[in-house]
Amino acid sequence: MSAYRLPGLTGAWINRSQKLNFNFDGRALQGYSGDTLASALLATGSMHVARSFKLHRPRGVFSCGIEEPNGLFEIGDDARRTPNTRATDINLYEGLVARPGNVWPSLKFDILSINNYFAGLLPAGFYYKTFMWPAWRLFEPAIRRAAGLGHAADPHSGHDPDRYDELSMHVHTLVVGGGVAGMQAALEAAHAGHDVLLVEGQSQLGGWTAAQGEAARTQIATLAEQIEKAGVRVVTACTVMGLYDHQYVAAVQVLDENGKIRERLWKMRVEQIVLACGAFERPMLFPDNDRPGVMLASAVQRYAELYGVACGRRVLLAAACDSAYGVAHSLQAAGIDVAAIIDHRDETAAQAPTGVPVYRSSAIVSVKGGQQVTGVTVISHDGLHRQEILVDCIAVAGGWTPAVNLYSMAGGSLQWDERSSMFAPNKDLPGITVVGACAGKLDIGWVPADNRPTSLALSALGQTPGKIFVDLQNDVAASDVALAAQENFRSVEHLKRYTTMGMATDQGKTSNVNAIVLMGALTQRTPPQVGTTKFRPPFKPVTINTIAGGRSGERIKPLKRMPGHDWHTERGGLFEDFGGWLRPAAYPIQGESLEQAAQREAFQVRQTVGLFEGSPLGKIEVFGPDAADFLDLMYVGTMSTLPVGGARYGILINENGVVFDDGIVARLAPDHFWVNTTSGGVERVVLAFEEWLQCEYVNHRVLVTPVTPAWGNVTVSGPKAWALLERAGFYATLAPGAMKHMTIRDIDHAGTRMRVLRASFNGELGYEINLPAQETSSLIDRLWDLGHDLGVVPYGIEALMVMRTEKGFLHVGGDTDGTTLPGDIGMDRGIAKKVANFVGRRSLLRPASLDASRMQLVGLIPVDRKTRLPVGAHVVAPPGPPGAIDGFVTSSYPSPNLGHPVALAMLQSGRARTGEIITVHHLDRAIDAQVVVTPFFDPQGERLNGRD
Amino acid sequence: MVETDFNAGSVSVRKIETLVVVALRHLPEVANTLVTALQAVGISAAPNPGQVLGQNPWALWRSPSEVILLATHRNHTDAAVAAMVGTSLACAVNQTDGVLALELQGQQLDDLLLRLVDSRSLPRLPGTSTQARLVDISITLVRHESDRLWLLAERPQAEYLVNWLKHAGACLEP
Amino acid sequence: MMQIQCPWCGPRAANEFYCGGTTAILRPQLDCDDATWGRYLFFRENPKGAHAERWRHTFGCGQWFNVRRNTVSHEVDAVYGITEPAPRSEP
Repeated sequence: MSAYRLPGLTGAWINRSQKLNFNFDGRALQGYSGDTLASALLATGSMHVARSFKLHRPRGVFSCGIEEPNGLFEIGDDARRTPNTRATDINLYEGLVARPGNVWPSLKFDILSINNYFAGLLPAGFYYKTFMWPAWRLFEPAIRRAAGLGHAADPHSGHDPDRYDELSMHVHTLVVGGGVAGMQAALEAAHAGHDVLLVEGQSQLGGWTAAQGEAARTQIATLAEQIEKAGVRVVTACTVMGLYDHQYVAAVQVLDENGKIRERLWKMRVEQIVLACGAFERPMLFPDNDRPGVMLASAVQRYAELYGVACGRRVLLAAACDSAYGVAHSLQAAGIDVAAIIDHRDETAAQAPTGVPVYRSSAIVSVKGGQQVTGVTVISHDGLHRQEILVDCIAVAGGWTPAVNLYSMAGGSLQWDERSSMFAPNKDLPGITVVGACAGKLDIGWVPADNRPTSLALSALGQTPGKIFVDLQNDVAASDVALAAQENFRSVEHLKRYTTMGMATDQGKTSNVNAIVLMGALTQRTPPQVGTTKFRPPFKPVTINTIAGGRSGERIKPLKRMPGHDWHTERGGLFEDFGGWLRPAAYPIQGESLEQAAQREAFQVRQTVGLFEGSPLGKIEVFGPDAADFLDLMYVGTMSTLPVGGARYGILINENGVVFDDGIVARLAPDHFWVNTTSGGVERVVLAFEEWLQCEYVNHRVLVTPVTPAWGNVTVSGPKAWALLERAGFYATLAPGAMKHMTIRDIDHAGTRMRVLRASFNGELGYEINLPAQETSSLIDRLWDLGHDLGVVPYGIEALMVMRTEKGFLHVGGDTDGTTLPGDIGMDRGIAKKVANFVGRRSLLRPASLDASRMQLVGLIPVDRKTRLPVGAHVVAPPGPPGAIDGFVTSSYPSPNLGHPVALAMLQSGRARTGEIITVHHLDRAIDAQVVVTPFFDPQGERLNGRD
Repeated sequence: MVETDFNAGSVSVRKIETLVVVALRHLPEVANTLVTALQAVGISAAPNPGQVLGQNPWALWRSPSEVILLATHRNHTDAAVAAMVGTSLACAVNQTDGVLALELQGQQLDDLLLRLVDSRSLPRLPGTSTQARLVDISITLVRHESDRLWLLAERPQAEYLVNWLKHAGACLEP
Repeated sequence: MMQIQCPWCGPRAANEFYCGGTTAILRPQLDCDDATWGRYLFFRENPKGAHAERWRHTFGCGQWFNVRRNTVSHEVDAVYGITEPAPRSEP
């Protein structure tokens, strides 16, 4: 006996003339267009389709909606493989391949069903108490392999080939749920003149009412016509998954599996939200209530009416609620044999269909059948009357639970309805109204909260009763709830986390209320006294790629290109991400490694001349009568004393005194400065400048304009730098004899306006030529062409890092961190003399800032002059680790120009320890190094003026 | 530079080869200097937030201290720039070389942009403009007609922008 | 995602903005003691309820302005100029 496809034309949502082929657990099967995977499986008689998570008990499809706890399958192959997917939530398509989750070797014979025999050892929280000796990590791998509900796609099968779309909109009225209540609300809002969008999670409108017979479906069709005429936009197969701040709503629309777009994320800002999400049916609690064949009564009705599927040859209703009677009528009308109604209550006005016996004040105490229900034992509450009934499907109707998830996300509070035993919304919220079953407006009569069999009935059974399951997906039983109560995990938050009830992918949609009622019963509290846990998005599981949308590959984050990018490509540049810009790390030739190239370039530049693009350096125009004063306020050093044409290196600190950026500030005119920042730091510098100007120093007359992309920067450096520029036609006013180091000139070169700054980050004679970005390529190309016989070489970031380390020049963020003060890097000399106040000044006077044992930047040379000190390696006071940290290495490179490695490090009281031999530790190695003053190379700075 | 002429779905995307972009900055005391500069190029008043005034040059509001002038040639902006010189309370900053200007045209223009920009940040009516966030970069949108719009971004972001426009275009339904 | 009302650009998604934290904090005089300076730098009120804070429209007009937002409900009951005093709250 098992489920089967009803003959004739039953099944309002399926199209019997369109067959679809699919595969389940290796078996080739067929269904109809309009079927879900669940309805198609049931139609083929597949009752046992899964195994439970912990105990590996046989399970079947339980529901007809997103609340499904059992029927979770792995769908698809390779890069499209998706685990843990609810069969009730998948529209059948041609070629669908589905496999049961955690079973091995097969569904029918699953080795781990042995867990069921050890269920006593695996109660709630077992992992806190068992598998601890001798060490948890010995058991962990085995347990990990046994746990889980399927496998994610194998990363080796490539990227997800499907496309995920997203859309932003603002809507006046959003109606969530296309059942009758939702459609009526949409109609009302449209008639009031509002722009209305209605989203429905199922593939068709109608909600619960769609399964209430032909007449009901006609009513729905009429209503659907009316809302269309009224201009309501309707989207189906679209589930609202989260309600966020300020009426921001996210919904996921599922499109054609084989089409161009797989899923679409709707992001909506809404004036008025109407929640018409309906309600979930509550299961009955009885022993072995998890067997394949036990299903929600409304689901059995839905399968019959909408999909033309009988969930069993002989169906039993187990009820605590009037809605079961309507289901019995539907099933009989569809030609399905209804064995009986077992009503937990002693009376009700609802009428059973003719010929169907009703056993009142009774409950199921035993279910026969392991891999499928074959029969039940029913005993009255007083223990006196007993029935044995043969059935293959038990339709449970324990009551209803309004789907308050979204309401709760919006901050709404719930109240317990005594009569109907359900949590319903307390009241409407600003901008949010709740209608229909979602608001608890259900006419279901009196429903008992606790629908377990009585202890009298259970003892009358005469054998140990099976487990009563509360949360099917996580295998949480009533005994686990009792254990939680016994161990004093009585709060609803502890109940949830200790037993894991409500924590599976179904988020307790069919288990929360029963668990709360049970905990209340065990601790002499009412359900509202136990309370509910907070609902969080998503309302149902969401494909993570849908949230990612297009954020994959190169679209994940912006990676900026320099204006001269093509030239670097032609030179063989090896590009890497530096501070959000794609820049050449080096230009390897003839099979060089990156490091070899950098060493060659760093050597060559100091011999002849190098070309470098510095376009990513931040550039800001600071203009206005108070610009000079303002820069004095911003920088540690004094900028107002710069002559026109002068330039100065500046350090920026925050109010805490910590260095956060550096760069050269040049004066173009009395009230006009050209400010450079680090390549990755221009945004935070502009943010800081603007915050001070707009919020604090509001009377300063200053205009700050970032111009980084408008200007390119071609940097020419090396002994022959001027020789090359001279060849390119730059006037002698820029010659080293005429133009001093750290000065800036505004020039016209061959009709192009340029700002040339004599500066040097590598210690060589250097010119930073700032020019309109579009001219960058042609200038750098021209210099390259002209410089061949001068030995011109392109050099990348790595070579620059080698050279600047040879000079002891620091790199903010590399040699500094979130604690570095100007004094730590030797930049505090002018502070005492600086009269003007500046940001962070007060913080430099704190005891911690003045402490002589602070970390200070020093140079290190390995004693053996061979071993490169690893960056991040720590200096530990003798006798060595474990011990207090004395310092750490911040930059370290082999120096091709000196023939030995050089490093910079932060060392406690570093500047007082010149000459000292210290030990740097890295993993198991100890490397001796000597503390030296920097620069390592050209300490007098003689190379700054180059040579002919 | 990446290819900037393509179709994003049914929306055509074309680079505007030369679009002069000048930022007219001014402190509150010299609002009249700004007006004088605009009048020198045929625009009678300063634009309000979101408003586009004039036609070649077009003037857009950027902030209380900044108006952006767009033009097809510097002939249309030189007079304005000249009028900003001479006071240290105002200046003109040429941003032309740093800006990538694209013209987007097509019936599905809004469908395309709503996949990239929050709906509140789109300029809806012709003659309006917004500064907005496109995924993770800052852009300027200038709506000329219901089916024609300019999108301005920083040139270094061209690859990223084109990648996203193509991705969103591929999601459009015909 | 919250929606913030920029006084110039109108209502925009919160990810167009940078939140600068509590506003209208009085900086102590620079000759204050270390404890006072430390409190100013590192200690903030963390109200459950109305919080006056500053936001900058970084992806828009770049302007700073003040917002009074309820830290529990996110309800914004005032948006005012960066140098303006907070308006009186409604009773």
